[in-house]
Amino acid sequence: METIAVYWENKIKTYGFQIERELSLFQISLAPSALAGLGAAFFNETSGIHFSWVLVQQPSSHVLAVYILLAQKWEQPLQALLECYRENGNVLELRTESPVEMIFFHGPHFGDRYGIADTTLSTLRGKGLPILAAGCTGASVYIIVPEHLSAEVRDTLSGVFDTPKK
Amino acid sequence: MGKKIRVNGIKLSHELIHINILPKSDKRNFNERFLRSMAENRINLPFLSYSAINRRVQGSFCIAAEDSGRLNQILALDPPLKESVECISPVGSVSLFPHNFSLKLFGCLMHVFGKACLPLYGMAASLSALTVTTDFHLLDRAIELLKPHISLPPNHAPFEPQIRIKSI
Repeated sequence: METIAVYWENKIKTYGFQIERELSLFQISLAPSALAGLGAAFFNETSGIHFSWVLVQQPSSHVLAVYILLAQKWEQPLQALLECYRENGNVLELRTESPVEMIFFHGPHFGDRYGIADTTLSTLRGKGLPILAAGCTGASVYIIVPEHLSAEVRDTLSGVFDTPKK
Repeated sequence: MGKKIRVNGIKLSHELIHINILPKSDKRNFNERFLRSMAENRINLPFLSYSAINRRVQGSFCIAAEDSGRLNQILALDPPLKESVECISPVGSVSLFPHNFSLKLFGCLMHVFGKACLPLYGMAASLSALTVTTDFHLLDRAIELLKPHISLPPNHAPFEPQIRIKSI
């Protein structure tokens, strides 16, 4: 049996915005054939590295772009792990942006309703606020921005989304 | 590979269409144009990834397969946009939760997909889940390949959502 529910929301509701600062964003470009090896290196790492957020894109059929955002304290251990792996020539490109900041938010019906990404990205673009990376899946929206911009992003988005009253 | 990673559950999506905005086309803001079209036509995006580093912009999105008719209508009315998108279908997503922000689980997914040469169109973390998209007909195979590396609660079976919410 299929159940269909409908709802209407005047202004998109969120549970509020959260910010994390002092983060490092790694961008690793590699051939799909190198994915298993890099995955094994991550799987077998012993430093207890935890990410704050991850993203993988496929810019073309022969390149994968892996983004790993983590606290700055994990930058050196990850860099060391990647340098070992890179010696095999498997990494096409490795870039690090640090420090960067992340703003993320969730809301009721996120994942089930339209317009959240458009509202978010077009609002920030209209204000000239740069986005390094973003992702929406499940009921979450994550936005990575350069240092010192997360508060302005939060204040800007608070004007177009409904946030809990304090 | 090391010992198994504890995972509390696996969720599968319905059939989806994966859409890449071709990187060469963003000088005309096709990512923004595509998102606006989806919002205007009330099409939900259950998966989105976007990056804009070093002047290289890459956007990828998923929509429900049932929205394919409306997508085709939108693209037919906007030939430049149509030329700037690549559609892959049917795809589906596998979500493992919780991820516990574990690089090991992220690495496990990468290793399994890479070793089996399963297409990996995108992967992203949410608050608690890691979601990866691949060809729809390969979802079951992906789970079978993951099982040796993860520990699931007894009697757990990957599930598909039974309720679909449609916004008006």
